Amino acid sequence: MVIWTLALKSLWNRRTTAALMALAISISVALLLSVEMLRTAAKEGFTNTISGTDLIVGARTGPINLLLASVFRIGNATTNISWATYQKIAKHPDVAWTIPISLGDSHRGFRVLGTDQDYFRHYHFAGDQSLHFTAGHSFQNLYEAVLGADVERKLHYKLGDTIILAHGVGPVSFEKHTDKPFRVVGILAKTGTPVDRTVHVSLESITAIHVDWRTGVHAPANARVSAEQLKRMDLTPKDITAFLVGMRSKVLALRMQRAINEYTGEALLAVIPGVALNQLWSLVGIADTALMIVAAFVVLASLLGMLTSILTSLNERRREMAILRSVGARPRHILALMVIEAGLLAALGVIFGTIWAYVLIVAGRPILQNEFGVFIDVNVPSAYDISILCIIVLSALLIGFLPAFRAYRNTLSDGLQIRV
Amino acid sequence: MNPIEPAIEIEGLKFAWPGAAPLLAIDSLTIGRGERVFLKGPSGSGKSTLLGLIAGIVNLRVGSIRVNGTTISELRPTRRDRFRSDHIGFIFQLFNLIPYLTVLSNVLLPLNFSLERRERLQNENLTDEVLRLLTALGLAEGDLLHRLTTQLSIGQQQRVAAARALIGRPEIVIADEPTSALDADTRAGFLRLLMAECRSAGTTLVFVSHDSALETNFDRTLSMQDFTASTQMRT
Repeated sequence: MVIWTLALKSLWNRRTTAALMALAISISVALLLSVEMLRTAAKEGFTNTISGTDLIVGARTGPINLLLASVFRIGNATTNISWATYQKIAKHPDVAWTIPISLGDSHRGFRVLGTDQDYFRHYHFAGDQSLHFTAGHSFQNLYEAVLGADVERKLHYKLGDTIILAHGVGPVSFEKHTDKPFRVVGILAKTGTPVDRTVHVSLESITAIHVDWRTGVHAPANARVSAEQLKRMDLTPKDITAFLVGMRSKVLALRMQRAINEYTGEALLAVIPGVALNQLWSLVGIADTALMIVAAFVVLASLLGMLTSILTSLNERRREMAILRSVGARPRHILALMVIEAGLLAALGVIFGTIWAYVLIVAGRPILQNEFGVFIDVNVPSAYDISILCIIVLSALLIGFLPAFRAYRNTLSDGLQIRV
Repeated sequence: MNPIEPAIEIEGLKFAWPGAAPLLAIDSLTIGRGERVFLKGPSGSGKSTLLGLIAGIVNLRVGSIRVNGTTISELRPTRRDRFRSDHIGFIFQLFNLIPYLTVLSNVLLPLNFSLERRERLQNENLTDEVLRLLTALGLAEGDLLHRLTTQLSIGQQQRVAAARALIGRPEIVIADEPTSALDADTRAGFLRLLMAECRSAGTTLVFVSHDSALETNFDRTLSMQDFTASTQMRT
């Protein structure tokens, strides 16, 4: 078809402008695609934070609060639950395992989590991945700590290093457990979850460092219990912040959840992680939807840029159109010429934009993984991505009709007169 | 007095642009097949409008125009477009050529839009025909074919435009001031070769110019004065 040849040659004749237009579109497409890929990866990473756990149990609060505190180590649980209640539920015949969680201290901005060996045995994330040690082993004694991957990397600790925990969770703490230093005995492999940003110690250690604290204030030095004395004391905790529950069978989780929520001995809340994660994501997701909308507007702006550019070129090309008309091109040919041009530019933009996006993702993957714990799979574009790309090309074709009609009208009014 | 077949017949034509005073009024005008006619008139006298009407680009409301026996003023726009590309070749004053195409592509352009003109050259090699036309029009250099038209002088460009108007042997060639951008020597040469080629192909030529020095070369001279509405009202 001669119109295709003409459109291509005409575009080639204006290749600098055309290349710039296609570049502008490709950049916006790259932005849109990488935002989309990041979004999917972020959501996946988010929902992968915890898996295999059937219930999260804590003192009665909002489900999102409980999730944030126990899984994301964000915020504080206002109330604790008693050790007795925990034991009661943990020993229930339907319960396969439990992981106690005790929060409240920190180390240089990283949260300290008191737990037991079941944490390393039963905590799962991203499907069925469990925790692994890159160095050392789990804590065996008092005053031993296991670091998450980020803690080790940021603070450059190695096995055997001594660390001081701080009371409270603020980034700067004035109350420190200086009299009970901890030794690093294990370092966990990267998980891409909040586990990476956690310092793990035993529940007994948590009790030990708080033995002589009363309502958040350290006892005077002479009234303190020494670290050695503590080793001989019964350090079973009186209470914990929350615990994770694995049921013998998934179907038992709902019944257990109801039982816990209706428990009269203590005000408890049990949430199903997946449900709470979805609730939380619907809040967090607003930000990423906003990002997506911004990216969509950038694409729209680039398409409008193309429209402006084509409309501007129309005046210089009036002569070209009149010549084509005089040699027999019909108005629909002129129409096709403009629409093909817009479509070609958009298609080029989409193709190169997709390439940029992949280059960007592949190049940025290590950074995203190390700095933000977001793991991105480099896959072929999803059906959704492809439909977005098709919509962009289709919009460009539609937009192309505007200059096309303008050119069409020009050719009708110009007739065969060549205006310069 | 003219027994040959008519190429263009105009009857009872009256034309005014919307909202403007009447511009053209032609009771009767016949241009015979193979005739070479000089149409003279100052600018603004409606020459281009008349050509637009004959070409079927401007809509006619009063009167009729027949080209090669077809009443084009009654055809639908798309049919008119096709009719025009099949039967009429055009040469303009300036900027006749598509800048991003080679000389060869420019000359062959009408064949892409007109099956009829293409079929007339069915048994001929297209490049040979282009070369023949260009040579006849005084552009003998063979390497010219694949050059971009922007590299040509204006005189050369007008010859390429003439070759394009003539390719596929349309019955009528309309030339709208094709020589006004040329210097005197080039003009004479161009005109001579164009006339010769039209004669050998039996093409009807309607040549528009305000330069009356050229009119002696033609079979007949038509003056726009006879066609303008205001003049007729006065007489």
